[in-house]
Amino acid sequence: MEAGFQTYTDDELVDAFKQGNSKAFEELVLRYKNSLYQYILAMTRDAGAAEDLFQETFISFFKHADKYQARGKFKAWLFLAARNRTLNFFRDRDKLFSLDQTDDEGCDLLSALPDSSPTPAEALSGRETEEQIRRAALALPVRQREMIYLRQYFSFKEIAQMLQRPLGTVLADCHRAVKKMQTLLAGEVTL
Amino acid sequence: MKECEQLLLYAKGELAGPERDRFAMHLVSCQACREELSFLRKTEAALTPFSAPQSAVDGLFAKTSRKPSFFAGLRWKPALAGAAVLGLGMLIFWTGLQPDKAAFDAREVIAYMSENLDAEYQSFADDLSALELEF
Repeated sequence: MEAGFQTYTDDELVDAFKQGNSKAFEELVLRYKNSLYQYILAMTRDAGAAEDLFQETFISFFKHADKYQARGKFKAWLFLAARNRTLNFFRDRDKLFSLDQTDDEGCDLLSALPDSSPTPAEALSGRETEEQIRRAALALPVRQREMIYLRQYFSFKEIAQMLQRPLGTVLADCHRAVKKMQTLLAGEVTL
Repeated sequence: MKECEQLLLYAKGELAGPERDRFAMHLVSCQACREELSFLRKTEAALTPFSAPQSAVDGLFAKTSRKPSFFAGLRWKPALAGAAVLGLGMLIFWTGLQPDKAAFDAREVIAYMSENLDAEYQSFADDLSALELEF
């Protein structure tokens, strides 16, 4: 890796890549590979598809980087491109699935909870493990799941801008996601 | 703004100035918000991005590396390359071998790859259009 690339901004790396420096492309991949792969895996819950979509997203940029206009939004572009590809993946598979669906696919887990369960906050009390939290996040309905994961990589303002939703809507979705995770975990922790 | 929304922004360091100070004061007296903040911190830690599989990264770099073609290495020996082609042609002629099915498969693969290329370009164009709308 060329010395100093780590200090380049994303746009500087894109410019260097456009001028033919393939190491700049490698640095962009290394910079975002973990978060992008995790995001795609969380959305698809399919390791094979995640690997394909991860590669396709970067290859698309590799082939068409000349069309990318540097505006300090490379990360948002990358995730948006991955999101669109994920959406197309499900459309291609003819799945009854939409990134904007609002029905709760995690309901099976919820309905398994006994009526006498304590409130989520009472039940948790810090006893949940990281593995349980990861499982609960993956069990969320897709809209909430996306919020929980995007929150890891972007500010709420950036998420709102990227998904073209009001900030209040993004925050409300994320809060619902947190509450649902607590409910799911309460069922798991108290069992 | 609701307290739950402020809590999310506070946890991400997105509340500033007087709003942040007011919410910090609220936290002192609100156990429910403190517990939820603690849960958010644990969630952040649990969902810290793990390493992407090495196979995914290696596969990507393999597809984006431009390797010199096999024939490029023969350019400095045109006579040798010519002789090899002539020899192969004579061998095919003498042994009565016909062009094998692989040659036709290759054409199919190229046609398929070209279709994919068009589709991919279209997909990328869609990505760009989305980007134009976003920013």
